[in-house]
Amino acid sequence: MGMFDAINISSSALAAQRVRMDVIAQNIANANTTRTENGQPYRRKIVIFEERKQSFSDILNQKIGQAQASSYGGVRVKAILEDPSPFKKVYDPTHPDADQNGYVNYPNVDIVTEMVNMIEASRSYEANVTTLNITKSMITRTFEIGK
Amino acid sequence: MINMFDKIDLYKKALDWAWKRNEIISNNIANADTPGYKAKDLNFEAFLQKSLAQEDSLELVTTNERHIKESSSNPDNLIEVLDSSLQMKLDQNTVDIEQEMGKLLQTALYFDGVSLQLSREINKWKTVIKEGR
Repeated sequence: MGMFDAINISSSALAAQRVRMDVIAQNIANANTTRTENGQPYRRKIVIFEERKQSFSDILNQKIGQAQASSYGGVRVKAILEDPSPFKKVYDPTHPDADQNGYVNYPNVDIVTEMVNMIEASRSYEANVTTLNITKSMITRTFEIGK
Repeated sequence: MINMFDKIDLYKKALDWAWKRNEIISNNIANADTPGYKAKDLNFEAFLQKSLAQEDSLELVTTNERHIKESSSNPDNLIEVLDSSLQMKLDQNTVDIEQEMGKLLQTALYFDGVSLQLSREINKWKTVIKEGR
């Protein structure tokens, strides 16, 4: 039970939610990007979270009694993947990226979905800030024992 | 003769529990959006019984400090995965953020209360040592 383990857990979550927020901002910013570096329209990106487990050496050190049992590492971003869903087709023959039939492929970004995810990310962020503050108050309380 | 540290030890164990539970709940909240994560909790009675029984039990003899110690005394074995399949989200995650925030607050208040009692206990002994002066 390390003193700052709980703080590390909460801050890992803050970092993860921040990455998620960055990716959502990127998605919204590119909602109308019809041409990226590879010539395709922009593909929506998704952040995948994973529980951060301890490393092998942490567990071994615990088992041989070299370290105190601290059991959690919080959360981390496992990967940022592309959403494979099809592009939105819009009929606009005057667009430079239109195909022979006059259709333009727009990114598979849905603004409403992104806004909902953004609210969720910011709420999660707030929850973790609260957790961090509660941990902080517990630590300061221990300093006052015996006063 | 009464052992002056008996009560202090008891408070210490209660604080240990609250500290550990705070860590577990923080981890639950951190993983509120992790697919497949299952919410966990630490049972107070089991934790206290285990840590009280630990004092009376016989330790496994090790002749070298690097020998693997008996793992039953590890508090991590007491962590239970909550059975809340009814609240499971589509991504198999069982963290209920409102419930976790409530538990977190409970744990923090409990911690404050116990540490206050511990301070008072220590002050009582200080009074005794100073002969009431």
